[in-house]
Amino acid sequence: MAPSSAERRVGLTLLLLGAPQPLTKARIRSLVEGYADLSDAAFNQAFERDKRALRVELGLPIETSGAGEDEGYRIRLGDFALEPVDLAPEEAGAVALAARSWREAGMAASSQRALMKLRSIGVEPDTDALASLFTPSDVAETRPEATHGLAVLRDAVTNRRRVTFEYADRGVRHVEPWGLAMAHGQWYLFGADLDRAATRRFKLARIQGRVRSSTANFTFPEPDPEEVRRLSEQISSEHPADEAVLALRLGREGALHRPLTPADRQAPEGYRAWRVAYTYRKGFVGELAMLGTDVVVLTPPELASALVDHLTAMLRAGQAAGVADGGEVTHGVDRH
Amino acid sequence: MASTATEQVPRLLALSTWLRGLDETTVEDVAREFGVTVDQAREDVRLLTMCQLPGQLGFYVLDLDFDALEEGIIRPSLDNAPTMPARFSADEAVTLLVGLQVLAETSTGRTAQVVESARAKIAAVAGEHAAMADRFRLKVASGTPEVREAVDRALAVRRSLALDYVDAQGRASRRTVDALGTKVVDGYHYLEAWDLDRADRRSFRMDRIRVAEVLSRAALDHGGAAEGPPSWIRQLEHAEQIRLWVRPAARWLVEYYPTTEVRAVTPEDDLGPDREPSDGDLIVTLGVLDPSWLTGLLLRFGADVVLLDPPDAGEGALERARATLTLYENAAGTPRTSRPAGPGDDQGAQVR
Repeated sequence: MAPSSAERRVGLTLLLLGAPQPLTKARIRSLVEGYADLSDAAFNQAFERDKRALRVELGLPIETSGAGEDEGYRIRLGDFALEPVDLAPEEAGAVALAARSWREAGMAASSQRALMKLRSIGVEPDTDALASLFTPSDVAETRPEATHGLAVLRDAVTNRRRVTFEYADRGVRHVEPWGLAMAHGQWYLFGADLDRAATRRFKLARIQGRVRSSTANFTFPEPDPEEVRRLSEQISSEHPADEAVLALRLGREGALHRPLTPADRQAPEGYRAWRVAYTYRKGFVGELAMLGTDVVVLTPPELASALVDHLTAMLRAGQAAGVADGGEVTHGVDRH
Repeated sequence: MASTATEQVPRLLALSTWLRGLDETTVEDVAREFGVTVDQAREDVRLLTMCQLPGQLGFYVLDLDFDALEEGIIRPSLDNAPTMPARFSADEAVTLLVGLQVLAETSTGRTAQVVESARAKIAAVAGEHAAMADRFRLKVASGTPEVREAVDRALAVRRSLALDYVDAQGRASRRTVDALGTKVVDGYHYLEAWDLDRADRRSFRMDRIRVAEVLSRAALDHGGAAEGPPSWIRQLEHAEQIRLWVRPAARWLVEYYPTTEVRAVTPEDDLGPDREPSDGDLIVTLGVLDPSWLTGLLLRFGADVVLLDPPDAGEGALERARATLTLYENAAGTPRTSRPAGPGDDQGAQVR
């Protein structure tokens, strides 16, 4: 049986790794099982592909010297080997926890492999040290649908490969993936949307089917680090854009789950006025709606009318679906 | 999961080096330690025994007792693997560093120092891949440093905690709990604890704990309470099921809450008179443990989520919506003397 490409690449790595001096292509062909039986063209193709896989995908440093027929290849042990890491048992315990924190299969395998490499060089984690604080297996659990395609996208980001995927009901997207961010329990991909010639974010939970990435030959240029930082911050931290003054019923100050600053403003009896920062009006209106009469929007007026619109539309929708009491929607005052 | 050569080669190399130092291990151990299935682990081991050492006929990367392997036991008898593992590839470095970042965001005090120094050491050997980890950002919602510190200390010295907690519906309560541990689920940091008043296990979102106070009372041993799913997940299976009509704008609902069934609207669905579904509308079934949670959900999503069944479960939400609208109508319809008119804000709570 012909050796698999994995076997061939392991053989190639071991050969190059042990080489006291660079080996020519002809020599490599004669020594690595799986190359000898191939035609010239097939060998050249397989060798190029294997070299690229070792270099780009596995990050193994193949050194090249000479030119033409004399071109030689090897891997210097010093370039190959993981440097010693002086981790205290507790620190190693933290690394082990971090490695076990991934549930998504591809991510879990990568981090576990990294941990095993550390253990091969004598790093022994003290897993009890931090176990009292973190429940070991559940450090960063995530629902499977929220991590759809995560490992493929991670590799595409680190190798700067374009990706193609079906996005919700909005069709096929071609993206240069710049990075990934998780906030509020959701993973997002961000990068350049090639069809729209603009930067965009995509929720992983809305990606459908498989994520395909371009082959190793086609990489996109390094994105602007400033732009990467800006996009990733946009997702992971809310930059409050607007401020509202709200009257909150006394005793219900905690119900909004947002920082409050006292406002020097009169409020209805039994209420007190607060300043509150918010970013997305639609989402904020939903939060306010949940609180019912415990909150009254004092300013800005657009926020107040957005809330009234929201509640009016809700009553109409509920009624038309046969859910409400069947009476008139008396609050449905037309606006705008 | 199909194993591609890209994943398998680094694993084979790492595995061969790891096996070098061992007299005996099991296929199960390999599977667990490398995060792969047992079948995959067995295949990896077999493959290493088939990898010939280049130029040395009859020499293989690994030789072992094949009879033992049938039983799932690995006894290496010959090992020509590299003595040192390869340096971290980008994916390995990134997953470790990002995992450590999550730990760092959710720990305090000495634990945080341990995590941070571990992160710095891993970043140092990760070389240029360390910078790549910045492309991956995880934002974990956790408690204030004071709350985290108190939880940390209660766990360390095994004492009970008093919590001022505000739940999703804004109800404040004071709870006495014995902390079991903390965990991060979907980007939120939770305290897992035994609630002494309710005599049951509860999860508390750390960012909703206003104050945590370590008590002098010793925490009790609650046995296996830390294992298994939290009580609300267990209860959800037996909870009352409700059916919702979800418009595309509210699609994220199904991405946030555990659901029983999600499907597209069909022409057979009776949505009520004069209501036509549009493209992308969903019918969602989910379990509801707490009627006030459902009230909150309906108010938050407004017209984008319509309760279909049971119809009267939404009465509380509609009632509260009406009461709120009345509040604004009264404010709009009467001269507003409750607060001074200022430039730009005198339209404050008006609806028109």
